[in-house]
Amino acid sequence: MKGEYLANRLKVRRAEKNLTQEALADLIGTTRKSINAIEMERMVPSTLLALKLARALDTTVEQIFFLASTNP
Amino acid sequence: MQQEADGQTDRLVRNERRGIGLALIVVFVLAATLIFGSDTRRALLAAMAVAIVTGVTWLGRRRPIDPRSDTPEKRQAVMHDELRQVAIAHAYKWAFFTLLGALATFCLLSVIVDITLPAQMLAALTVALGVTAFLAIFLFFDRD
Repeated sequence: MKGEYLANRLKVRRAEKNLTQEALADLIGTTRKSINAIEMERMVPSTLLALKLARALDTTVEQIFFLASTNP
Repeated sequence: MQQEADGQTDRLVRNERRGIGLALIVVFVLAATLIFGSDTRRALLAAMAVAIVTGVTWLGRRRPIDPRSDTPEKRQAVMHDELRQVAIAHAYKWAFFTLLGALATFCLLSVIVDITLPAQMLAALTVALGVTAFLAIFLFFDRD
């Protein structure tokens, strides 16, 4: 059965804004560790954090997060 | 794009983790002192615990956090960090199952082998195992 997981383009969006992980973390009131875990797809952020990320990067949640398929 | 490898929040996080790591080692050593019966070994392990606490405290003092950067906002960010919350939830769950597994194993073993442990020691070891499992699992999931 084909599964789905939450992938993201956070690293790309962050690079476009020329922000370090630490700077982005400071903007949204979290830690660099969390940003790194989200970028590495080790953690799925809460809706609140996803919205804060989108606001900090001047984009929408859908532009950062999307559903991707796992290999069958 | 370079990362700020030594940001103030990172140092706060490292300090928190060092404290938790220290607590883990101390609990582990205290549990070991319970298990090993002889007075000499107990004294040796207690001395080891004191040495660890002193060593880690000394290491922490070598690079103090800039008080201007240790703001309530940054501390709040560290305490309410999402990865930390996720790690705590995982640690609670897995520490609980570890305890259940250990107690079930102990029950089975006590049927096969004659184990004579005082109730106080059994209770203390259960607490020590629970705390050790919780802290170790938390540190694993909360890693960078």
